[in-house]
Amino acid sequence: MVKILVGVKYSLRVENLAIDPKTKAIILDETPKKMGDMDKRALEEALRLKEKHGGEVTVLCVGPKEANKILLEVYAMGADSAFLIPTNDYLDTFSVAKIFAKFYEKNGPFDLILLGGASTDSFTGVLGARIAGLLNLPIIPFANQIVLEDLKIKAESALDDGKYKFSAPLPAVVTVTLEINEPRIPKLKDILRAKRQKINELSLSDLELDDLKVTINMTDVRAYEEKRKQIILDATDPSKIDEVVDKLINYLREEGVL
Amino acid sequence: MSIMIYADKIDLYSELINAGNILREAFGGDILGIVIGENNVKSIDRIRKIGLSKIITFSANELNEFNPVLYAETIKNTLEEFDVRYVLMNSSYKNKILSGLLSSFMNSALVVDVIRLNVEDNKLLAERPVYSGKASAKEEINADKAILLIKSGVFTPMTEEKTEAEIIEKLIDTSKVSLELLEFSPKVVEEGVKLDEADVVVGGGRGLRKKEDLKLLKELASILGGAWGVTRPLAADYGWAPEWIGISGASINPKLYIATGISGQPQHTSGIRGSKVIVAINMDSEAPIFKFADYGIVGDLYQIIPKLIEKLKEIKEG
Ligand SMILES: Cc1cc2nc3c(=O)[nH]c(=O)nc-3n(C[C@H](O)[C@H](O)[C@H](O)COP(=O)(O)OP(=O)(O)OC[C@H]3O[C@@H](n4cnc5c(N)ncnc54)[C@H](O)[C@@H]3O)c2cc1C
Repeated sequence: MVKILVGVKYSLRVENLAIDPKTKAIILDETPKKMGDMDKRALEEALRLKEKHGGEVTVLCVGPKEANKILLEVYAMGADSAFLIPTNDYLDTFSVAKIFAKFYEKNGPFDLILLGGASTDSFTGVLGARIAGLLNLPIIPFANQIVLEDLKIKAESALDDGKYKFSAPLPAVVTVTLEINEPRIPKLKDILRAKRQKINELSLSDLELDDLKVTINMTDVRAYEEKRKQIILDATDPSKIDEVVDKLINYLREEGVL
Repeated sequence: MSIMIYADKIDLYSELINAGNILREAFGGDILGIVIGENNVKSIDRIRKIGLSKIITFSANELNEFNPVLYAETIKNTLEEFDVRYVLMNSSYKNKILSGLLSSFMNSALVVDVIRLNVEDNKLLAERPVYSGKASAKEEINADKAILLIKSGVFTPMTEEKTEAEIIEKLIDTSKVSLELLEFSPKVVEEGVKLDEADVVVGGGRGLRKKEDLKLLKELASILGGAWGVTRPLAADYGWAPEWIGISGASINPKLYIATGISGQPQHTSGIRGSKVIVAINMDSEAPIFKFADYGIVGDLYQIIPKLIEKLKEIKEG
């Protein structure tokens, strides 16, 4: 039996960012959103561990009210309970980590906290470690593969310079990569069932976190203006290739990069 | 008060010291270095005169390979003794985990992937790319302490010779750490040049039809004295390469990046922003990669790369 806490983020679809053409500010309300890609794999991995060892999967999301959309998806995939902590203010990862840590203490015990290695939009990749730090738990980051045996979790981390196989006693925090699994696609009957399941809401006061203070203020978020030269040469007609390649080589020489 | 510098590659200390100098000029204090692992400690002569007042070293055997919990414990032990207020590290996956653990312990702010750092009215401001590198965010630190992870290549390395740092050797009890490293398999680099250190990188995407066609990339890279790399699907889905370029893979900072058969999704382009000149070769004139390119060729990579190789060979052979 394993009791697993999974975190999911209601993330921006970065491919479809709505950008104000004048100020280049990002219009968050108009940008479509979805469950984070790695978060979904964390949930899938939790469900697989539950199917193998028995247990329970609890999902926590900190985000705006509309995030209940992805919690329906979470139920359709097979989670046992889903919690939303509605917030509209900007929260830094430290605040989110504190919410997870408090939730863990109040609603636990859990054997495992599973999260995506990084969120799809801000991609900082530090939430898992900050939670582990607050709760004084071991962490295995960016896992490609997880095995649970004898009250220990073993996982392979893909880090900068290679692969690291770690082993940690439970409870532990594990964050996963995109490569760990292919998430299931819920069937129609699961989607219908999910609509009858209750999304639990908790406030920051419920978690005794009324005085949560951010350590970082995001003061300005602006889309980059691409400053590349964008000199485009057409070589779709094969007879042009020779000439176009010569031109390219000349440009690169002028740039001093050849 | 002091500012602590930790890098997971010895060469990066000399970049981080210039970030440290910005903080020192604004807030005062000393800049210390901390070096972990026998191999790194062996090379500390290379960073002894870059302006660090002290270098704290930990060279126990168990510290040779990265273990986030163990490394966090190691650094933790020095924070109070040296009254550390700011920690600067290079931005890497390993350091994200390490700094995440440390920031909880220090109760500090944490900003990763910093590409600009300044102090205005006594407020520390850091800028970093967000949304897969499509936007940049300015973040104001609202805490007494902070850890900042600086993208490599943002600060120029310190080249001036400064007074020699005092070396302080330390020991750590590694027995209490719960996370155990069972095995480490380092990345294998096929031939010569490493992706993140190369001056020229030739990248290939799903425009390549089969694994054998990677030889086009390899040949072009080899003539240019560079490295080759791929997009995520080629590595993670097809298994044609051990790693990929982009937000969830490697970031590159070459003088020249040539993207072939790559559409230019933000997750990929986020990792190539540091390139000085970008060339794109793609059949589809509407491909987003052309917006990221200094020079683009609309056409078939199977015809263009061989031609490019042929002409570069001619030039080389004079
Ligand atoms: C959380 C997350 C993280 C990700 N991280 C990364 C990452 O780090 N790095 C990464 O690369 N991707 C990453 N991805 C995947 C990314 O979204 C794209 O799917 C991927 O970059 C596309 O790869 P591609 O350009 O090779 O393929 P495609 O998008 O399929 O593009 C292929 C291109 O080749 C062109 N082409 C085809 N034939 C030819 C020809 N004969 N000659 C010339 N051109 C031709 C086509 O016109 C097309 O533009 C991530 C995705 C997610 C969700």
